[in-house]
Amino acid sequence: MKGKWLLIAMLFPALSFSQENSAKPRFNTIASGGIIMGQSDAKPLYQLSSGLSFDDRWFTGVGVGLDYYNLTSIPLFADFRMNFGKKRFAFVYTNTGYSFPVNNSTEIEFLKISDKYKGGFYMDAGLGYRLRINHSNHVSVSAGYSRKDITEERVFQSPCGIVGPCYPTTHTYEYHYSFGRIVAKLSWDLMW
Amino acid sequence: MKPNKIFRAIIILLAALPIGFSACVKDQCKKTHTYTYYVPVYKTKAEVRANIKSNPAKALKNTGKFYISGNYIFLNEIDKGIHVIDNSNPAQPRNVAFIDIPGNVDLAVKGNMLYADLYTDLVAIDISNPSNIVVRKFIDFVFPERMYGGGFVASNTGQVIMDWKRVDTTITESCDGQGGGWWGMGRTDVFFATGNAAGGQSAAASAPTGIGGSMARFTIVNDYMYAVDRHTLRSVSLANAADPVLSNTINAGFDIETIYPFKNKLFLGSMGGMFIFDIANPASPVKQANFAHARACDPVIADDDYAFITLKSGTTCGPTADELLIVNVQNIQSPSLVKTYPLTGPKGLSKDNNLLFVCDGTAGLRVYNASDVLNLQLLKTITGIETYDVITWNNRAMVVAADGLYQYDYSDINNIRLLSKIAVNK
Repeated sequence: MKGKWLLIAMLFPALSFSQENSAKPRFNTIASGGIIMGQSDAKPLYQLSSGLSFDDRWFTGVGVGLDYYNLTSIPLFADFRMNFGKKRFAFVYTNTGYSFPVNNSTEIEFLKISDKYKGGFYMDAGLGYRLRINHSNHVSVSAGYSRKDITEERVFQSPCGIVGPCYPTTHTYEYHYSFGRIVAKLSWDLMW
Repeated sequence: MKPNKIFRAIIILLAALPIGFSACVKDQCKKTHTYTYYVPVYKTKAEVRANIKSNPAKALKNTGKFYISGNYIFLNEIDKGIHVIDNSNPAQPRNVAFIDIPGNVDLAVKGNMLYADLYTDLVAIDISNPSNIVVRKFIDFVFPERMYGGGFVASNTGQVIMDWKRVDTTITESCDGQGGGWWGMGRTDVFFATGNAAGGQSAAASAPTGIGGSMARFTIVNDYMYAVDRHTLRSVSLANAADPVLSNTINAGFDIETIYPFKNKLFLGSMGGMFIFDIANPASPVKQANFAHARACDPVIADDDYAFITLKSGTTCGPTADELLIVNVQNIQSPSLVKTYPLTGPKGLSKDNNLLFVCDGTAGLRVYNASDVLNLQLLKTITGIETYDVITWNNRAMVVAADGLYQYDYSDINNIRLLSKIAVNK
């Protein structure tokens, strides 16, 4: 179900705008690096989006990132942005997708039999300003709000004695983490 | 709007973002805890005692220690009582009766008397006719360490825990700022079941006594029954079998789990090692030696020359290797390690002359030729069963496993045959 909504989110802008814009779309790749600041920490963020740009006004594509805030994750998202203003130097963007937790350490705890992380909703939306370098290249700065949800499931099992069958009791703890952050990015925007 | 104005607007927006989104810039955590706890169901002590009789047979569910006496197998149902199994025909054992004894985990048999714990109390039962047993005596408060079950009073002058009512629960709460887990074992209002299981009984030292396994905490040598708990060794005089009398209680060591008799010695398995007691004076066992090993769960058996100890690792047992230790006890004052053999998850064991049977948990039952302890020869591994304890007797191996009670005929060691199985009804 999550994959279906992700696909729809990615395809919707392309289907919508490809019909109303006569200019030939251009391939567009946006590489970003930035910082995410939240309640507990400030960590780096990296993103790479690729897609199509229509009339230098609309961009739609898919992106992947590396988000180090609290629990490291790889967000996979649909990227949509709109440039506005006379010279289209300003833009709004929204990234919506799914965050996959990766390489998060777990503590060794008494009687714990498993500890795993599960992914969840990811979004990043904000405003930006871009500087034109040439026909194909722009540099931009942006700021916005980002949220990622991750669930950690810890399972503990009571011990059995040394002899005889036993019915171990399981305690399952699910920690649903939701991190709301401010994000600031510097991006390089390449079209061809 | 000119670009520089837009740029300025964005800078202002950037500065305003932390204020505007301050309510949303937050690390939130919601915890869902799913678990099971048990609440006790009490009956009066009078009701419980009146119901200790040969009640209709019940299906095996959560079996523990067992004892063989004559043609009968007495098999503990943990905290519930004892199954009486007529084993006249080992190929077709019959579950004939159930003796309701709440809180029972240990048992021992001498002649026609069966001794069993009922939480803190000891009960002597005449089993001359296993289909119609008769209670002969109760001794109150012999095992005070069983006073509490999961934080509740398990047995006092008034009431006894008969059963536990299972309650499945899910709790959702905020864990903001907690940043991690908390495990509810600290709760005092409920009992988080550990599913603790129990094991067999020690081997007999004299003819009229039944035969038990290596996981026992009760054993009988001549006219005395010996019972261990974590720190204590108790002697119960059976001079008059129908009238047992607690005669002595001594501090035996730490974390004691099992007791095994051989001739005039008692071998106590503890999580930290093995203790050897001399029972030349049977009323007053005297500690003779101890052999330390890595912290583990460890039943022990012995013969004239060697003690055989299995070490099992695990959360409650300790992070040691799973192995079989063979300890030279020819000089009883100074036991020494001879050799170790790696195993998978060993539990009970039994020896019949040169044949050594080891329950190796999920790996099954291993049968060794132990004529040369320095070079044990694995003769056979019976796989497909999760084994806990074994008694070998008269060319038959009786094995308590996760899914039932198995009996094997090993009269031809090259062709060990399954005689029967009484399945556990989960």
